[in-house]
Amino acid sequence: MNRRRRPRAVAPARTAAALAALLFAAAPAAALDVLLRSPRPGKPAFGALTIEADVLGGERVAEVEFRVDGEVVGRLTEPPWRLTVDLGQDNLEHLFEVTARTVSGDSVTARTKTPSVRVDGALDLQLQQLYVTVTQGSRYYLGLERDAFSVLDDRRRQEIVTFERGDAPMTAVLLLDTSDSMRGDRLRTAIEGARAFLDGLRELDEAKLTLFSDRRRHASPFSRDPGVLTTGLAEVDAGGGTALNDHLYYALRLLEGRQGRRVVIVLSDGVDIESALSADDVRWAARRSQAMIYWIRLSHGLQPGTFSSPWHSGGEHASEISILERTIAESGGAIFPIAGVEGAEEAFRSILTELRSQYVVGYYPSRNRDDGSWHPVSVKVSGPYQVRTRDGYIDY
Amino acid sequence: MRLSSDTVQKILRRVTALAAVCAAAGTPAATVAAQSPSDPEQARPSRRYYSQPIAEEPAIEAEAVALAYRDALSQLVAAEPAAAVAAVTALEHPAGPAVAQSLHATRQGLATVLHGIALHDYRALEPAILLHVEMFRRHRDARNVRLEDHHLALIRFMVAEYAERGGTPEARATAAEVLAAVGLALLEDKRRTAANGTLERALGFNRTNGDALFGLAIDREWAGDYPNAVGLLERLVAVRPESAEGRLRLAINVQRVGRRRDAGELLTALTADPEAGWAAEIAYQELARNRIAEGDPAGAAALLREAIERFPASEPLRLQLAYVFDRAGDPVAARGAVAELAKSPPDGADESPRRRYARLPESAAALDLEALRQSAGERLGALAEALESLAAGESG
Repeated sequence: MNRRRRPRAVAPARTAAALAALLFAAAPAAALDVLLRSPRPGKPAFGALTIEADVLGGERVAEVEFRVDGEVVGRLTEPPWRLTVDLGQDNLEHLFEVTARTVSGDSVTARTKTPSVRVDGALDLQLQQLYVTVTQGSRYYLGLERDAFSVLDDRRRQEIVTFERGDAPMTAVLLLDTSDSMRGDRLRTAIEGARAFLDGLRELDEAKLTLFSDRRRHASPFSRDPGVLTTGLAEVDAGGGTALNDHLYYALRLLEGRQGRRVVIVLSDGVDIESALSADDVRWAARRSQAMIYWIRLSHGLQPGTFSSPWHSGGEHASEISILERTIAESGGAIFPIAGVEGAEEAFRSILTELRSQYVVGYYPSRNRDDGSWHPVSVKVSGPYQVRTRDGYIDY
Repeated sequence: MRLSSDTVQKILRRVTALAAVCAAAGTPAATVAAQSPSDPEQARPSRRYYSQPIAEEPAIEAEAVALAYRDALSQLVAAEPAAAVAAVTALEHPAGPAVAQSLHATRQGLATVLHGIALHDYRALEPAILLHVEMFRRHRDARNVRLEDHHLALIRFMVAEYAERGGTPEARATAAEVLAAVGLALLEDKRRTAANGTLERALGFNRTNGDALFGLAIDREWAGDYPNAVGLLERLVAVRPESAEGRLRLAINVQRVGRRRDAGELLTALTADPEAGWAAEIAYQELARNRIAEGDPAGAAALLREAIERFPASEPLRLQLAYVFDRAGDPVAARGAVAELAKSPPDGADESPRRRYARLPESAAALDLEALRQSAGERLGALAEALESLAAGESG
């Protein structure tokens, strides 16, 4: 979330230890107490950030409320007292407050303030955030610390200024291909698969469900509520052709300016026939977007190049699919192949698991060209891990 | 009943000899002469069931088949088409294990009768042609390719007899119309080999038959054979200058063979045609794509704005306009264009213009043959006379 308001006046930032000592001194033993573990005072905060508190005391806690810059961003009723928020990429100071309330009505608040990064004169700093997936074999690995990562931007090593892991909020657009081949039960199965993803949304997440063929067949609003997202689907039937490129571009555009990680998930065989835009057009747009694209690739049993259509020769189809694959890799997303639509639910769950298992690494590029050129980016980690993130970004 | 007539024996010998030739090509007798040299089915041995060597056929009660078929046709004369269909259906299921050969022999029996009718009065074939087109349609709907082909072979045989015996341009034009309608139906079912053979044969009877030119051009286009598609479409546009779809397809394929200027002129003419409908919408899209490729996003935007005024519900045009704004470095305008689209519900159209382009015209599936239906009603008397003549010949 981008917050441009100046925070209210607050007490000077304290170290965790000093804060703890102060609080302990001010309250009798076993009284309610809150200790803010994250964010650390004095460190600039950007992008996805986890606010984490310890609540101490003998009485049962009824609720812990989290506020950023005076606005309530979440409430928890059970530990762990941990909440991830997206602060956006603006260079701002922030006030974090965590209030614990007991069942008997007592409450204690801990606060900390993070500064903005000092900017010299005309130098325009733009935080780059990378969503990094680390796997060990076939399993996601979240046990790495900041020091294990090195980021290369334009082949230059960068200083990591923000580092989070786990559960950054996201905004996702789910695109379900509902062309002729998805008629009947296949469409219902696909929707059930998507529902598995929507049911896993958390408080700061949002999603939009769009069903398309050669045109939009159904579009939900952005929402966190699976009920809202799936309203009206019973009346939707499959049919028609496939305009995947058009709808991918549409999804990328819809995500511009949305909060948190931006994610597009496409369920389709990937064979575009009726789009007005080409795969190259989508790639152009994707390179300028911060969105990750995931493709649940429904097999149609044909190899690219072996089929043609009224709008494309076999070679053109093969090329379009190849560009789509490259676009997804560049975005830091992934392809989840499934043999039949019955595999959609598992694929959606796998994508959700991956999104909950990413690191968020932020840095200020050491060389900004600001000329619309492509900055190649790579992330390396020490250890026997596989790393995936977007291939780069457009500098402008 | 005896087949004592020399005439009938002579006909049988001719039909048998022709059938032997046709067995290798998978086509019925008497149509061979009408094939054009480029007919793909002539060059390629049929894989179908009736390509068995004729010497291996079991003995069939040919005269019983002929009698039963004459009875079926006399149901048409009695204005009982349902009974005629039932009687012909009964002939499709000869007893015995070698069904394939039996069906082939059955067809010979039917061809003998049809040849006799044609000798009496070629116009008397019209009700029979419609009967077998109806049988073809029913088996097509039931996806029974084997019996669909059985009637296809009989239709080809009949229209060849009709054109040959008629000897007039009108008779040849009627033959072409029937084959073009059946050929388009085959093409819609993606039965390209059968469709090509049928459509080329239609052009053999009438080289200006618009449906056959349309069908063959679309087939070439789907196969990626754009130069030949252009040749066929140029012929089509010459005979159907009012066809916006024909002009659009010509423009698209001319563009594909690198004649960009010609394509541009054709597309521009379509945008200026107030009757061009969906073809004009695609023309706008293509022209805008070309402008973008030429590095003229402002020109593309102007075209698209004009197009949106004319087709305000078009989603592809709005997406394309957003993309053009993006390319022109105006993300705010792009966001506005997409936001406007997102606010509106899906347009509810049955199909997008590009989807419409990706399929055959409606007439392809209809097997309508309205003109033939009208004239066939007037031929029932001639058919009755022909059947009586055949019966008299046998008994004589």
